[in-house]
Amino acid sequence: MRILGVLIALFVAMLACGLLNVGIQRVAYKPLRNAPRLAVLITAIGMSFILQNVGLIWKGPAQVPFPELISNANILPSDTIVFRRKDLFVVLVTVPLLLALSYFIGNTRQGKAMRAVAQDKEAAAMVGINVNRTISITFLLGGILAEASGVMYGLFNGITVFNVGFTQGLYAFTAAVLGGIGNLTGAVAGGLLIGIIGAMADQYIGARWTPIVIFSVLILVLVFRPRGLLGDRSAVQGGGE
Amino acid sequence: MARLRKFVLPAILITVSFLFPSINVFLENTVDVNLMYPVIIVAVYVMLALGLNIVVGFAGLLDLGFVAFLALGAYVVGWLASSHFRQVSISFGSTAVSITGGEPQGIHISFWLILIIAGAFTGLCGIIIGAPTLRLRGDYLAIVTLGFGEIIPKFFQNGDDLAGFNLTNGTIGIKVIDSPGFPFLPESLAAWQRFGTLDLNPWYYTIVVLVLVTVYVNIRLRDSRLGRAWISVREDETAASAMGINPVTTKLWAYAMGAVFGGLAGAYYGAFIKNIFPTSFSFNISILILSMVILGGMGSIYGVILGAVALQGLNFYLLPQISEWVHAIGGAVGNEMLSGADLAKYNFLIFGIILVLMMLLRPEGIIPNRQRAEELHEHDEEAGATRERASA
Repeated sequence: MRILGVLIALFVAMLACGLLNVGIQRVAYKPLRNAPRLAVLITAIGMSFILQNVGLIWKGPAQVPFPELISNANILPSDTIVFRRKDLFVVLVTVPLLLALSYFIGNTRQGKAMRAVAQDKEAAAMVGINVNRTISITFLLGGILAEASGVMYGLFNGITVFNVGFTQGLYAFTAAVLGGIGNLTGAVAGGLLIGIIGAMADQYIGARWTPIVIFSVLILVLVFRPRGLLGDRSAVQGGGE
Repeated sequence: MARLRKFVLPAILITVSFLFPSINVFLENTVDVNLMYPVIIVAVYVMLALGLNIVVGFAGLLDLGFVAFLALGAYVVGWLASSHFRQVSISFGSTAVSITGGEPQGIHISFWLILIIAGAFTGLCGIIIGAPTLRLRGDYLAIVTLGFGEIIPKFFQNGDDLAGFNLTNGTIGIKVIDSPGFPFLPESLAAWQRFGTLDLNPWYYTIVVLVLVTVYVNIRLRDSRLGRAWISVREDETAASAMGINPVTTKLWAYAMGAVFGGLAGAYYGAFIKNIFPTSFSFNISILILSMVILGGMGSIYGVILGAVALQGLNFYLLPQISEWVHAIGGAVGNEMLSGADLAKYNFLIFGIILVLMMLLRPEGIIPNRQRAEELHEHDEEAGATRERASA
């Protein structure tokens, strides 16, 4: 029964965050679609700052506990290898979402439209793609996925705080760069690698150094292999517009 | 008009800034308000905002981790002008004296020398962090600088045990940093021999000179060959590099120059507040400085100064004041929510809103740089109208 509650919460929150993201896109980013990139970046950082501070005023600066809805019990019979229900939950939510996303991007009409808009908005509009709707759907998806990971993070760690997304977002960006921007398989590989590197750093160097280790990974990747493990070079390099 | 902008206005501003201590004495005697301390802090932020203006305004690069350079500058002064490194005892032209007599523990170097070292050091750090990242597209640079601004304070926080070596003293921070001063001056100028906490005038004149140097360098850079290269790279990188400008070195110069001024301001700030902690250098400060540049007008020197004064004034003076009024009103009408409201905690929310609203409504800022304004409205349907307005 509990798991049903978790799923309902996940679904409601996904919808709410997806719509919130679409709303933000409509209010803050759409008017700037033809403005220089700097303007959009500044708006984005301002928006993230507003959201963080709304969280701060709403819930206060202290950590907020999450209800323990999924148990820590080991599902394997062995004592030496631990695989908890929580771990299973994360895998069971992530894998279907990833498969659904990669099917959507690769095989549906809307996914193709999305890739077309990413390459060239004007040309996409010329062949009859509704650019506005496509961008809105992209933001909807972005919000949904970010939210799913947010709920998982909260349930998994039992705790959350108003600026939890800041460091996590930085890690996610590192993972995307490490895997190769614009490449779904790369993003998964990068995410797994960053997770492993982070866990190793927690264990062997000390948890307080983990952010520095992961940031160093980001810098090293940018220096030695800017396109990432699987990405193509054009995505990261180049002359502005 | 051009003459007014070029000579008269700067002359008035400089005169007022040099006469301010007398004005402050007058204010203190008549209405009992002492503005010296807040004005010095505002001046530090003016300097920081002018430094960031080189990066964001001139070169068009979004730097979200500018606070890192402030922190680096402050720690340089902490290392070189305090008893932090007890292992050694080096003194050079410093105002520090040992209580027991003899050589004071730690490194104590003249503040004026440290300013130069701090500027050089942060500039070097800017080059080290900029070189790999400036090859990338603007969005990536923004996130990498964001990470950099987050990591540097974290490094200072963790740096109390680097293989057994205490570099930064962790969360406790570096305390009792030496005051600047000119120890060779005669006794009659005691306030200038060693800057004290009672008489803030020497501190004030120092930061005014630093700000003026920053403004001068800003103007000279803007009108130089490098400044024109920044404009061309920001407008169209491909075209600029086709014309023989190396975009990476050009951007790197902007980033390094911004870092130098961030470091200088940080060194002054560290000496002024005397105790530095890694937690004082949070991401919020980066956003605050960015908001100053955006509000005033990217690339516009008057605008950036106005933005810094306005926002730091709001932060330091206006919000607590309005809070008090709201409390008074709340107390008078018996509304508990009003009398307990703490407006100061909304300040960073306000900065976020300023960033978004400015970008949507007036991206060129309050006092726009004309060229920048045209770029920002290039794709508007009413671009012609803007150009007419600008030339009118």
